[in-house]
Formats: sequence, C-alpha cells, structure tokens
Amino acid sequence: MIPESAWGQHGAVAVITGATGYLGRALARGFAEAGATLVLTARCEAALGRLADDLAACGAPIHTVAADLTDPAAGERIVEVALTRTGRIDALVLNAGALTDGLVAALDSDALEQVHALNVQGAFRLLRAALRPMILARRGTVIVVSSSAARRPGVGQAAYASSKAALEALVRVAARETAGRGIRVNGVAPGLLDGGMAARIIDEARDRATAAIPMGRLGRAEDVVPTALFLASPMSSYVTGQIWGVDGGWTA
Amino acid sequence: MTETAILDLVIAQVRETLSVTDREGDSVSSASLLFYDLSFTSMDLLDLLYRLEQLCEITIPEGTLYGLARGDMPEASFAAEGVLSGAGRARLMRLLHDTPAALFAERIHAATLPRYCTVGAIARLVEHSLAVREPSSS
Repeated sequence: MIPESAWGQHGAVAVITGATGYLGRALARGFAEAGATLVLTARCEAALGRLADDLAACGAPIHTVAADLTDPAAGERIVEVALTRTGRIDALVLNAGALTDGLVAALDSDALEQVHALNVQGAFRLLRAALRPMILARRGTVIVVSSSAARRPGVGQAAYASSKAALEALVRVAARETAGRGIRVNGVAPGLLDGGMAARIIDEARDRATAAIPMGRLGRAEDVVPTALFLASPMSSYVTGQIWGVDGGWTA
Repeated sequence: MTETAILDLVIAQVRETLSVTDREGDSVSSASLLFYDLSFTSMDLLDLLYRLEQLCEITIPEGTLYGLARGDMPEASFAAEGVLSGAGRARLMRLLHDTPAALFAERIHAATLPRYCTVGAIARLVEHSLAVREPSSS
C-alpha cells in the first residue's frame, strides 16, 4: 500500500475536467483522498454540487466551475477561477470527452467536428491557459485522458479515436516544449471501462470485448486513478511525454 | 517607471529566464540579441514576456511588434503572404535600430520578427505597453 503522503498532493491544487462523469468522479475522489485541493469542472452545475457533497467527507477543499469546454472562453475562465480561489494550479487533469460512433464511409463531418471540438480543441484551450501559470511557477503536471482507441481503434471509432490520437500528439509536443520549465505532460489511456461511455455497449459486444482483453475483464474507473495520481506525483518526476495504457493488456 | 528602471528590470528577467537552463547571464546588456547572442528559444521568449507582463501588470499581445513596425502603413504595403515587403523590412529595421543591419534577412517572415530583438527592444516594448496602459488605469 502506498502511503497517502507519497502522492505529493497535500497542498497541491488539481483541476479536473469532466469531473461528473464515470471516470471523472473516480479521479476527483482519488485526488481528494490523496490530499489535493480540487477545482472540478463539468457542464452541469447541479451535478458538480452533488459531487462536491459526495466528496465532502474526504476533507479536501473543493471548488466547482460549471463550464462547457467547447466554449472558446471556457479554458481561460476555468484557469482564472482556479487561480482566484486557490492561487495555483499544480495538476491539470484533462478528462472531459465525448464520443460519436460512425463508419468512416458514412460519418457525418459535423459529428467528427463536434467530438474534436470538445476532446481536442476544448482540451487544447484549457491546457494553453493553464500552461501560463505553470510556466511562471516553473512547475506543474498535466495528465491527459486518452484512450486505448488511439492505438487500437475499433470499427466505428473514427471520430473518437482520431481525437484521442490528436490528444496524444499534443501530449508529446507540450511535454517537449515545457520540460525545461519544470512541467510534465503525460497521458493515461484507459481501455474499455465498465461504465461511462462503454455502458451503452450491448451485452453481446461487451462479452466479445471482454474475451479479447488479456486480463479477462473490463476496466473500472478505479483502475485508472492510481496511474493518474502517479503521473501527478513526484514519484514520476522523470517521466514526461508518455502515454500510459491502463487496459488490461488490450494494446499489448 | 523610468527608461533605465525598465531596462534593468528586463535584463534581470532575461537572466532569470536563462537561469532556468543554467545558462550564464552575466554578459546580458541592452545590445544583446536574444536569439543570436543569448541563444533564446521561442519558449524562453514566451517565458520572458509572461514574466514581464506579470511584473509590470501589462499585456503584450501577440503581434505587438508587428503592429509597431507597421505603424500607419497599409497592411498590403507592409507585408504580403506573411513576408515583409521592402518598405516593411525598412520599417522593421527602423524600429529595431539597435540590431545590426546585416542580420536582417532579405525575406523576413512576419512570424520571425522577435528573432531580431535585442534586450533593449524588449525594454522599449514594455515601455510602449506601459504607456498604452496608463490612460485606462488613471
């Protein structure tokens, strides 16, 4: 068992997007239990309020910002709110994401654009805004939630997989650019999770997918959290520009 | 802030930027060329500008240097397809008068203007931004 103090989150501020989703809630709880002050964002204010109530027992200070990352001004606003309320941003967890299925031959270009608008552009704008205080502070970690689909996309995942592949390229570029400023940028790429976006997969397809995972089961949000915490912690101080698969061996 | 105080501040911040990657900043002066003499990278310049903006409570929007060089010259006369015209190049050289003339390329791409800046030019940029800020803050 890794002691809570090893995660290095006490006194740290973590901004987490898509915080009210299946994985976002687990990430929020993980960072809160590790001692971080949280700035949680999602579109729905009421859901953020409920999440903050759920996490109150962790004892971590929690701030919420309702924001739609497809709004071009959202990234700057989230950073401004985080800095006004907490004075710093130590970890940025870019978790918000959307998914649309469709065969390339039949995919609506608007659908592709909508997925990229949130997954890539929304993440990019918030990352850009958060890098400024991180550069000034000469420290910070960024964890981008990608997907195993970036490396091993399935049929119908053109929009989603291409958005995640773009994010992974963004991770590598940002990592190279900011490494000299004490900033680390990494990605975590979950496989098929037993909740959230994957919950809508029909049982038969789920059974087939599960059988193809070397570890023989779907992932859980809690499987992803320790890797994200590790990437935010001093334990990974020499790690940047990497994508960490958490997929039961799916992309092995 | 006086001209001298601004220059001293910029020199101190250039040294701070260089120290991030353990580079020596002792010889930094007004005439030092950021990219040629001090081996600045694009990230160093961004870092420096962020620091100056924070310390002086100013904003130096992207394109400020371009706008100052162009002045009242029509955009079409100043540059075409991102490359400075002869007249545009001459205006840039006037603005950056402390940069050796021989350094200016024949074809100057608009995106490369900061590469011709001396430390003194950055100080003048800060001075300009402070002057622009003053009326609204008074």
